Amino acid sequence: MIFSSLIFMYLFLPLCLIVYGLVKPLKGKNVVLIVFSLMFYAWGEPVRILFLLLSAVINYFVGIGIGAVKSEKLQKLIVGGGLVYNIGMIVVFKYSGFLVENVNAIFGAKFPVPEIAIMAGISFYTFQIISYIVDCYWGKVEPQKSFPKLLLYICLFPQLIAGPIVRYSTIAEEIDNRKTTMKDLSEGLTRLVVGLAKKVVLADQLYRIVENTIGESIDRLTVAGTWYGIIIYSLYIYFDFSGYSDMAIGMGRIFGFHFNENFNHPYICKDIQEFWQRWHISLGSFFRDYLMPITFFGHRNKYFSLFLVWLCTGVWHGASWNYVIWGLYYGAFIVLETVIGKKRMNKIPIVIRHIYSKLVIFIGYGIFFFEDFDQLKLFFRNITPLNPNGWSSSFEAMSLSSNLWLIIAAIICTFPLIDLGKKLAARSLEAKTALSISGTAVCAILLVTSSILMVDATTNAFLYWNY
Amino acid sequence: MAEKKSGRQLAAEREDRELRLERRKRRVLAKTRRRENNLFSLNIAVIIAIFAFGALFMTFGERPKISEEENRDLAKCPTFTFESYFKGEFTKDFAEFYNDTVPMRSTFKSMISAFRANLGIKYGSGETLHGPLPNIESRPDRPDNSSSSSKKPPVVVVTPPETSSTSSGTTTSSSTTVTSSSTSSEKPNDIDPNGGMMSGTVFVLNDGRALALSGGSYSGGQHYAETINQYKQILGDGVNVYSLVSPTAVSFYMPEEHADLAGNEWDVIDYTNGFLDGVIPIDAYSVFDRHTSENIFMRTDHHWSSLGAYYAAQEFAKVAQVDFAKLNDENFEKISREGYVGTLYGYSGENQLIKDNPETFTYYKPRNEFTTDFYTHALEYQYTGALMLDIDSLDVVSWYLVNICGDNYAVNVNTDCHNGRRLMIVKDSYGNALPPFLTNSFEEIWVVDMRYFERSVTELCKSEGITDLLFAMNPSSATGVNQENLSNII
Repeated sequence: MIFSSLIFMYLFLPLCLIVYGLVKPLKGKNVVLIVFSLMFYAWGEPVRILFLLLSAVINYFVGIGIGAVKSEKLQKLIVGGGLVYNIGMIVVFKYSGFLVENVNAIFGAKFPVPEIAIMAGISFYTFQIISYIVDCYWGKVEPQKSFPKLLLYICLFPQLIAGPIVRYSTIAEEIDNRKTTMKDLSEGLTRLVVGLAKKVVLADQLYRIVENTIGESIDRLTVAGTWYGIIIYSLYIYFDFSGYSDMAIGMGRIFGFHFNENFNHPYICKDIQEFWQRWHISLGSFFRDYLMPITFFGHRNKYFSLFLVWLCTGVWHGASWNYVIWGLYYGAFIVLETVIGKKRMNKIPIVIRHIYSKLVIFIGYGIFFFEDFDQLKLFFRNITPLNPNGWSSSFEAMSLSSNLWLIIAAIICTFPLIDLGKKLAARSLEAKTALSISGTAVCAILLVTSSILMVDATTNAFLYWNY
Repeated sequence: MAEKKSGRQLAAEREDRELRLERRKRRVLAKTRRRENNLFSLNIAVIIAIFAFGALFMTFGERPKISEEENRDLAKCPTFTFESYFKGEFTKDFAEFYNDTVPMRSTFKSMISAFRANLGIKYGSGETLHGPLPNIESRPDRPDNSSSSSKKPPVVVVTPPETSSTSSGTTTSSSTTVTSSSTSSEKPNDIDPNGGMMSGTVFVLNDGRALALSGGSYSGGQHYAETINQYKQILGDGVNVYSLVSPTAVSFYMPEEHADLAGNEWDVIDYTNGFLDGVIPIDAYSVFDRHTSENIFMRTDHHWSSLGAYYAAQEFAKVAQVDFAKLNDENFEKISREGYVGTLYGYSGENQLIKDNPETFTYYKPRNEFTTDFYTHALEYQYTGALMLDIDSLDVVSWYLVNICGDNYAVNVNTDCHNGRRLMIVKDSYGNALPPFLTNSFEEIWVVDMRYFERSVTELCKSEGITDLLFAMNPSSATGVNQENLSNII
């Protein structure tokens, strides 16, 4: 089940909210959330729930074990075992086919390639679990003694499938003690609607252009057509993923949880380091906190750590070589900017930095988009004068004009408009009232529009669904 | 004293001022909080009200069972069993049912279509584009068509046991041999350009006429020609083999300035014909070009109209040297129905302009005597029935099925024409509209669909004494998806 579907918005969520509202004790509310979360995860493929429960049970005992033993060696052993299990689960369910294919290709072996269906959200919830057991080991959090509470942390449906990667420390207190205020409910609902609109009104419509350009005909696009397609894809992927994060954060607020932000208007960045501080923040901070401190043979090397982080960032996104290249591509620019240094970077004219960062991002999405290397080669050929299809054609001009309002709206929405609204609202109570009422009206329009658009059964699933 | 009093007074006044200020602050804060809570309440009430209305609407609204626009049954509510649940089938099917049968689905679909059509502005003389870049091949090195006429054999006109007159009063000469007409080598001028929009894979003109952006493939055309050459080789000189690759509406009604959005069907057909060896090409292009002001193609459907099929059949009859019944009341019963919206509405992603411009569907029932037998695609006899279905028994979008019941059967027509000519038509759905116009021209007509037929066409030709074998289809079909099917049924 995906959030941007009628069955979720008008059957699953209302039922969950009604039952959650009717049950008064917090323990009961937690049970309601666990039951609905498991129903949500089991939708369409009930068997995967067993692996989720198995992970929850094993990591519950890992946490308990870390808390129970005093010896650091034993703690290390337990957390090491937990890490092997969790990373092993991701490798088996996400990368086994890719690994065997490559082993066969490199060594000429003929091992049967396993065809294991990827489990939705495994990369997200396993990373949450890893953060929990490592934090237990580092003493940052107390191991959770109640299995249902740990299960709630792992399977909470708003963030189960596609993040954000919520740290246990972020919501540990709220699992035991939380209250949904009027502000939480109002802002949570607003965030849910805004996220839904980002996905359905913007991302899904933009994806139709992506399909019609780089999705179907990269070999026949002109230079302008290829750039047009990849820029639209960059807009699409932002609204798709950040829309999902908005919905997750909004639903969390409705239930009284306060998740950290996952996006902070990444396209206003001036360099690549800033981009990654604004894009998929929960993944970046996970690698920063749990991978960067790793020492090799007792030493830490900044550049080696960066290389490792970006290799893992690429691999995390998918079992294909283009993701590896994509990760290392970004790693190279991060290293370059690190070598240049913040001060010298800041001396470069801001316009140049914006152009540089957007070019790197757009080309990066080309690498991200094309899993097929032949198509990727065509992409690189087509963004240059080597493109045999010419510089431009009426096709992209027609497509651009036919979607002009959509594209303009999408570009405007990449800017921090809500922050601007908040600043204006802080000036006076009247301004706040006017902006709030306008915001409610806009939300109502967006919700109705999104709901109608969801009638179209061809609505795309979230890109990050299978991550 | 006075100074001390004054100091106390001052202090008291200051305290009083601060107290008043504090009270004022509290009042303002309380007012702000009240206002904020009111605003939160309003926001919550509005959004929850929409969710509640939506949930009730989805739960209690009347769910449609069929989609007339898409011509299909909508998903059905699945029955719960533990087995289907644990296989994941129940939840999957239920989600499909829930989303597929939204109350007022058709209205919402129209609104979505209107929404998408207004995502931008019109381009140039008024075009919008919501579809892919058409896949247009460049023409490979041209085969020498000038010499291809030498490959075109004469039509062999078989003499019936007794020379007979037809209802039109014309008689064919038993000894006449006529070379086929040559292919037109000139592309006609395009009609006046109109604005329009790309919608899915369809170009929709502002007047509501929809054009499927077919084009065909040069390499596929070569393969098609080589395949049907094999039929000719197997059947030999005793059977005339014809190729009627019919251009579609896009060749005649696409605005000139956007011709590059579609392939050049005329050129593909011309290129294809260059590879024919012993097979006679039927030039439908030149015929249609003379009749573009008439309704020779459906405006909302990817097929030709019955009138278009009539002109194509007429050209074929001319080349095949058989009599041909004129399109008049004496020979045909004309039947028309209003409100036709064909397949291009669906292909365009439910473009509202197409839906808002329905057309008249007209077809012609031949009045002469004939019987029609229907067979499975494996040639098992099914029933004897009417060549043309009753249009009123069909859903609107399916009206084209009036012709030989669509693609469901292999069809055998025995007519009151006695000229010794027996025709086999191997076709896609385009060919369905031809037989009604040929019942006065052949004493027997077999119609098989290359996509479904399970036997050998050449074997059937031999066993049924076929004298004329006609391949009738559109360029996309001939040069694309159906080549393999043609190879499989030789």
